[in-house]
Amino acid sequence: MEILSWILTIATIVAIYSIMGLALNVHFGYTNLPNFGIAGFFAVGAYASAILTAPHRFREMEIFAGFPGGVAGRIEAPFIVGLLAAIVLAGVVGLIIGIPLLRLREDYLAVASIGIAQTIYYVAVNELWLTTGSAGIRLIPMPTGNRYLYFLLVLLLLAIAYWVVNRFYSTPIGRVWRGVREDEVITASLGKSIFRSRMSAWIAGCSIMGAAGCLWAHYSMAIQPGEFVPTTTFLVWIFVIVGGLRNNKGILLGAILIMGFFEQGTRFLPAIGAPYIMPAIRLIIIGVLLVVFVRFRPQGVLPERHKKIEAHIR
Amino acid sequence: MKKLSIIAILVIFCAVFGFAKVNTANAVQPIRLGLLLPYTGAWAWVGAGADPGAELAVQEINADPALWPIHRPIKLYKEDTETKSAPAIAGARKLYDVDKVCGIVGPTSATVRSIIPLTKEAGALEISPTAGTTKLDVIGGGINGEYIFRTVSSDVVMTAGMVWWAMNKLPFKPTKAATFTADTEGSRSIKGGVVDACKVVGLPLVTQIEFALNQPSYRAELKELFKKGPQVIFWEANPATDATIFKQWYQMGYDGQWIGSDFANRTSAKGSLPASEGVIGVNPGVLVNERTNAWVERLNKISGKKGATPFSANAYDAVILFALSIEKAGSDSRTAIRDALRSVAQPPGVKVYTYAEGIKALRAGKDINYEGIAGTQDFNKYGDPITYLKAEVMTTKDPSGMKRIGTVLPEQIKDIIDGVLAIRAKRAKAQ
Amino acid sequence: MGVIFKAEEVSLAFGGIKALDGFSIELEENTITALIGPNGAGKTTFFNVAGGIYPPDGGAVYFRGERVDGLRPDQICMKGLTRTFQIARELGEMSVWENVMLAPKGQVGERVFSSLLRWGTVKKQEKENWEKAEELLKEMGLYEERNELCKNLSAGKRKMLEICRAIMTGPELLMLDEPTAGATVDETKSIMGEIERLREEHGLTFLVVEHKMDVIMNLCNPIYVMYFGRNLAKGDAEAIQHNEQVREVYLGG
Ligand SMILES: Nc1ncnc2c1ncn2[C@@H]1O[C@H](COP(=O)(O)OP(=O)(O)O)[C@@H](O)[C@H]1O
Ligand SMILES: [Mg+2]
Repeated sequence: MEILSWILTIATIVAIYSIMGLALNVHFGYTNLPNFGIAGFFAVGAYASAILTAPHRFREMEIFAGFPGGVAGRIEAPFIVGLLAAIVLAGVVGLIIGIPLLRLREDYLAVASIGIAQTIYYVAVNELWLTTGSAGIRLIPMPTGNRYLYFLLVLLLLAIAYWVVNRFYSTPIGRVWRGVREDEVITASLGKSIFRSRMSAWIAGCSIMGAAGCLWAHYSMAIQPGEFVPTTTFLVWIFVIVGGLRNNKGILLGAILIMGFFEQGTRFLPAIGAPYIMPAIRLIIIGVLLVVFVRFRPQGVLPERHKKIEAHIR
Repeated sequence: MKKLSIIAILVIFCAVFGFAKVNTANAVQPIRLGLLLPYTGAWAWVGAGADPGAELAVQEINADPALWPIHRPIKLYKEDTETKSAPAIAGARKLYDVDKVCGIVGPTSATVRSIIPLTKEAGALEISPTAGTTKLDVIGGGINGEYIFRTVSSDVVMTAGMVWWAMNKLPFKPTKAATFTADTEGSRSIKGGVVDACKVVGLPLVTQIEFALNQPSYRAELKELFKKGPQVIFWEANPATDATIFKQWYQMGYDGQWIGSDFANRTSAKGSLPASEGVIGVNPGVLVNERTNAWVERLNKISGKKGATPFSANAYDAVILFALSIEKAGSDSRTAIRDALRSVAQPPGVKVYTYAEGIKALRAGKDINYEGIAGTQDFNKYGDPITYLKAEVMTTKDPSGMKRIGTVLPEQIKDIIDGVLAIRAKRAKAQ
Repeated sequence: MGVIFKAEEVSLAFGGIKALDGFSIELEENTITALIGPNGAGKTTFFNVAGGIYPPDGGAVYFRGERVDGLRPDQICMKGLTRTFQIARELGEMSVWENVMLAPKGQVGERVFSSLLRWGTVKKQEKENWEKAEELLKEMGLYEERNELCKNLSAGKRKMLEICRAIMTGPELLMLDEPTAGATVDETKSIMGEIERLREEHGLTFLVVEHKMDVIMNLCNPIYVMYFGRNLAKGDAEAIQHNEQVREVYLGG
């Protein structure tokens, strides 16, 4: 039954990425904010928690290797502090970035957000005192001690994120966000501040991405800037689009299908020829799948579901 | 719609896991060994380079059933890291849990840190043929040299070689040196090694300059660099930046012997010659002798390429060491293999140079010390070997742009390395 | 009765076109005022200025004695002035009920933390708002379509929905840009009835751009006539119908 252990690993990774998918739904699905900088906020959360929770021993080892010991490993805070810091800091970074960014039109926003993620990446590479550079931070503790319990913790946080994002959808704030998505002029004429609405959606999504980053840092127990590159962002976009943009169940489905079965499941297929052929084919197929969906079923496997008023008011 | 998606999931599930249950009923169960490399992604060239080395080793081990380790052949289970940590973790997890490998050869420094906790949990042995940054000297504290080893030398070894070359192989005895390195982590690692090694040999560094890569001009930095007249400049950048630096250095008419690392390579030489005529690079390289030449020829049959592909010798040594450790351990149990590694890899055993030689000596009841293609593969307490280094000079006289001018052997730089590690240990204690 | 809304000498040019050229208007509280004029006269542009979409080049706009030109659309709406659009703009991928429920002001659940934490208050407000919306939708004949997506509505129904949405903001002054355009005879009737009812029962004030003369003549007093961004005439239905200039430019007389 050790295959279960492997499936659990995949499930943990899928669950953490699903949280990012849900956050992207708040940004793009609800509010039409095409965030192509997901990896950046993922990184902010991961680093915030890693820096705060890394053990003193990590810093000692840095110094041994001839590097000036940085902030990481000075504090050795508990996991919960790291998680809260990740959520808050990703939100604050989102706020600061959002002030100039959210005034842009969607297409410019998309381009600018790629740049923002790149900037965050460079901060992670270069601000040695804070992030210890491209070697990253190691020895990040896994709070539950073992990965079976950790999976349950991730699942719990996924459930909370799912509940939060669903609740956003059906409460007045979600209506305002979707109003902004459909037509900004009308929504503004109904007394809703467009900038503030975009900002609240933006920050909420960024914070959720930060939480996912924290969960990732404590799962992999070692992070480095190289993980937070655009491919992370695109993977989230792909499964969100395939699974069902604007539908939270669809997003979970997309994450399971694309990341779980397709990306990881294909490891079981027999190797054809050189060892790099199968992985390359897998990536090509994922790309083709994306194109096919965007062209023929842009709403994804599961489209947006509109609640009836009777169900809402009950 | 809902039904459709559930069906889709089930179909894919069956398709995927159906394949998993195929080959089980063999007479002789092969020994399962994991190979975890970046076959795709940014470092795909590393995976492509190392893979044939591992294949060659398995071919040689399995060639004669009489010489199989514990009378079973070896089978490689390969997983791709995509040069990213999430797939690397998933891949390693599959190797340990599903494929039930006895150990892993791999991965690169981009992902190795994420794999260490898994290896520790599995109680297995992991030998990385490619992970080379300085920080791996101390990776995981008590873990390294216990769970994690590598058959590639660290930047400490390379920088010790650079400094050793400056002190012993130049036509003059330098008294003033400088560092000129990019502000990337890789270059900082090189700089850190050079600084400590210079302290050990007593070579004063008069100037240390860091710069950003890919700038249009380095005139200001070069002016600053040569203010105090260093005779030797230890540098690391990238090929495009090298081209600018050397052209401007040449135009400005400065002197000085440049010594670089593995970034002083053919790509760099092609871009910066003829200005860089005489610039030296000291970096890992196999020995030039009959044994190595024959090995390269065998490798070429597998890789289809000429010469030794990157990290192929290191991957080859890693697989051979696994096989010898398994024979020594007498089983393919993960912990037993781990415990056996040092007793087949390093002194005091008799030196053996091939797998066949090694296994015969083991069966004759002797202790052995495998001397690999990439290096002697004698591990220090951190699990690091000192591999062979070569020195090359950039020159227009060679069509490739670089000519080999010598070899640096482990015994020549051992003292410098010990000195550097002692300095670092002291510094850690002081904090 | 006082003046609730006043625009003084408002002007706005798009490139070379002077869409508004010193236009002035005053609205008495609790009246239904009409704004008419031939196509391109500048009526919609005036709505856009009053609604905060464009700041005017010159002149001033007052609402309840306070200057409001230059404010953002949402700020103006929050002050009590809601406008509708000539070409019905709907939030297509949202259902009818969500459209009308978007409008009410002061919804606690529009804040992130309240949405997550203040379950009871949010639920109570939603119920209250729906009660109002339900009544309104019934009156305007949209109740059957409450769970329909807006993009599936007919043009007339969209227009009705837009008015419902505007009403749901609880305004003091409603500015309706051609509210009955595209509506059937029945729909026109219910829109007119609703306007009159809101004025009577809730004391609302209206400014209506209209082309259907019978609607205007029965419902509105006074009537402003606009021509090339300027005031042309003002008066009751009788006076306007007999005004020579108006007949010339507008009534095709
Ligand atoms: N955004 C705009 N850009 C340029 N010209 C405009 C714009 N909006 C309106 N106009 C011009 O302003 C004038 C007044 O238009 P409008 O206010 O729509 O008239 P009405 O609503 O009375 O039919 C027209 O000549 C129109 O072409
Ligand atoms: Mg108009």
